[in-house]
Amino acid sequence: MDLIKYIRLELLNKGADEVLVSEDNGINNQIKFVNNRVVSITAWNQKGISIFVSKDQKIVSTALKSFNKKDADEVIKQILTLLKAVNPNENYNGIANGPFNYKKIEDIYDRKIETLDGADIVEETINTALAEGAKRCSGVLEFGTGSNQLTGSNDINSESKGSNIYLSIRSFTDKDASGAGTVSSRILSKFDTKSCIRKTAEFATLAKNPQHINPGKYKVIFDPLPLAALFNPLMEAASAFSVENGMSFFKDKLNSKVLNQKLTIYDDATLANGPASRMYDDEGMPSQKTTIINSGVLKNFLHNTSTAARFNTVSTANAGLISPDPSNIVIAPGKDKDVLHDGLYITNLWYTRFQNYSTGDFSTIPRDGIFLVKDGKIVKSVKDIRISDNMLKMFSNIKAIGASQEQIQSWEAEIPCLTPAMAIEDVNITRSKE
Amino acid sequence: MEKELAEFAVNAALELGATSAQARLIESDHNSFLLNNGKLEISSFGKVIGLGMKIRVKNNEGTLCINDLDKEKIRSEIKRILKHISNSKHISNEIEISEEKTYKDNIIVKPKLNPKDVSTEEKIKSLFEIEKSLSKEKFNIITRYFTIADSITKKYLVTSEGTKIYSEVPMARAFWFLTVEKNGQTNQRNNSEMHTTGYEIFKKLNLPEKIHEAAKILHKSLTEGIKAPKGKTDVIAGSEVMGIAVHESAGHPYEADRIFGREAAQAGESFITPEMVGTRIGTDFVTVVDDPRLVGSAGFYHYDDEGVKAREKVLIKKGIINEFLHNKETAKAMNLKSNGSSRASSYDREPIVRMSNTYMKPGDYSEEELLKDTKKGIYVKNFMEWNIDDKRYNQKYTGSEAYLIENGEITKMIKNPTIEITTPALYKSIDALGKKIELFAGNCGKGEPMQGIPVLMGGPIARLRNITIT
Repeated sequence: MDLIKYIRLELLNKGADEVLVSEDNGINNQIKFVNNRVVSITAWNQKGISIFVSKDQKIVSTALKSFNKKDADEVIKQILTLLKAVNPNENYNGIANGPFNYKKIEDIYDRKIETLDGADIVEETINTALAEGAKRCSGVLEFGTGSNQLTGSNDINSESKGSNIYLSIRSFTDKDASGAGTVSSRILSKFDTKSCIRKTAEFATLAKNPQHINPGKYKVIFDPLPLAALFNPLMEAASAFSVENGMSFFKDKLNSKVLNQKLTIYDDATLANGPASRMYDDEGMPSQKTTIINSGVLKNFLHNTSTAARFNTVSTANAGLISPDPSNIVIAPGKDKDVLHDGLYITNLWYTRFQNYSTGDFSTIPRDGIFLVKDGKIVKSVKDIRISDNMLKMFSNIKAIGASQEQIQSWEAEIPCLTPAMAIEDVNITRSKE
Repeated sequence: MEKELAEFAVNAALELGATSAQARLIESDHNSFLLNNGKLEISSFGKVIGLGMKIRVKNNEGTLCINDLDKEKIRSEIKRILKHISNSKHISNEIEISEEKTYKDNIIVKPKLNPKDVSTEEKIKSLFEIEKSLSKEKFNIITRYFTIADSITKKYLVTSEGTKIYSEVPMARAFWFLTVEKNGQTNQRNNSEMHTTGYEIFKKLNLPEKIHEAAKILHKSLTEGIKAPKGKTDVIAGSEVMGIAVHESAGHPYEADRIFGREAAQAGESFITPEMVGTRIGTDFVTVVDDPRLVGSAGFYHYDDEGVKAREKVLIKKGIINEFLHNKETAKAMNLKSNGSSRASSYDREPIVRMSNTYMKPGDYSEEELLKDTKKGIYVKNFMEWNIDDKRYNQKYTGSEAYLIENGEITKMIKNPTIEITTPALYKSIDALGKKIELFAGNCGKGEPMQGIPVLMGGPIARLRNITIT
């Protein structure tokens, strides 16, 4: 018998009410390049078993890093001892009841990635950036495969495998002139890096000799890369856990118009080739697509079984056993053709921090190419600015949404986001005093 | 801990073609508890065991991270990384590293009160005591989110040059997040505690009182705070504000790997260049150090993750840029010796240049004297929102607990005063420092994949002249 099934049965036989046991195996690789040369290669080979147990609304979790019956028995003993000592969580409402049928998700596993070396991709990346005008470039190529097996007390038995490949690149023409981009895919045939690399070199070229601008309200054109960094905290605020805890600017706003009517946002764990696509959530519930914002109206929060019961609704299959989490963020494309026509064009962001999560007051810092655009042409490269604004206010002021989406995952946007570019009016731009 | 596995791994790497190798075998036991708005949300425990290796073939490098510690598996994974290194050789940098002294040592930090000797009931009770302390108040505290955690981490570092260092270090952690609400308006704050001690620290910290006090201040600021006066004024920055400032704009930009561009695509580069050593960045009052040796501190270690002995690093000396944080690679690039700043957050991350405990050295004013000497200004005791650009030049700190100073005395509370300032402007505005130092814990992020690592940051209270408040 599989070790994870043994652990599930032993815990149930010894009195647990609910059990989920999950085993993950992953082989991953990273090639890091700096200033046009590879500086480090990292290989990971990791596996782990995680265990979630409830009894009389008491909840215990652990992770097992050795994989034999003797160690599993010891961990089971520790779980049972801990269950006796801890207090119940009266807000806990259980996990999903199976059995479930799972639908195949397109393009989430590619066997070719198992045997990929990656050196040729990195070489081509560096050569393309230099050929397109970059003086130097840095970044990482990451790729790997993994599998998961999940077994649970409520007729949950599921397994899946996946692969991923990711490129992050930053091209420079000068110390203060750079462009950044990322490409992510689950399968090699859809890992198309050329246009991204070209764009980073183009931004780096255009960003030379950046100038200061006056602080004030600007119409800002956001590329998909910075938008993904902003939609990450926005979707975290849609988690029922954040809403319950006073850490969300969406609290008490369900079915209200909260954002611009041009904006429709989904959480979609079934997205073909989506970096976070998965057949089932951490409870084993089949993945789904959920509308969070429909034409500016807040339609749903992200739920697991327990939070859904507290909100008198059904799970959106976003477990997270304690906190429901977003999967792939999908921003519906718009119909506007002239998004890049006029405004302050921001191509990347970093260091988004909140003064107050319950109001959405935040600031964030544009990095890499920042440009003033007039009549569709870049007229000035800009530096040293900050966006200091409010999430609800800013995304209520959308002027235009582009028609083509880009898949973004980045250092600043760990939750993948498929989004078009946007133009937003009256964005508050501030600047440091010298 | 099966120390022999680390030695086996280093020998296997050399047998299979590596010219040098180091192995870090890590075993960490941990427990944590989360009390969320009065309910014990989850109790967790676990063990992390894994092997992290740095393998060099001449001047090319690779890192291997594995947690299946079967010897044959380790050998086959070493072969895999060696193959990757070989296949990338034609596009790889020649990475030279400094030659350093080797050590054989045991560093055991014995907790006065071992977490294992504290019952689960006792640990949970300490969380409910925080909840109880807040229940005395009549105002709404809609977020009461508290965690406590303990761990003991055993680490064995072996290098092919002869280093063998075993360490055993405990860690006690706590985190809290509060939201105070009145008539639909809210005020928030969070904070962390991280100490390389046993459970005894929680008695000393008195978290129920500390967090209760924080809630009262949040409420007072929400209900009584006036708008911050805009324009130029003198600022007294509290130790917590000076802590985040020195971490962000005197620690990060002095990380030599950033200076050489190794983190360019992720955590960024630095406005500092090697040629700037010896130039002025602040007033004579400004001396900033990074010192991993502080007993009980979040950033404590005696040897870094390359086996180099830790020492105090003086980043800014009396306003002059003095030295950077180095590992063996960056030290060699500047023809220096490493100053022991290489850290990895776990076995599954590569050691990179990191801060430990970074703080500004004190001056000679008491808080009372400094206030009395400041005719008009604001006192920003702590902060909520902050950020800095990826060159570490433009920074922002938005105050949480802040007061108006009028005629040398604290008068009214003010809401969210914001300082947006460049790094040289900040350090050149300091004209007086308090004589008492306070240090605060944080989880510093860097690297890809991300490595969150415990650090301390702090200093004395400081007076900043003629600062623009927005």
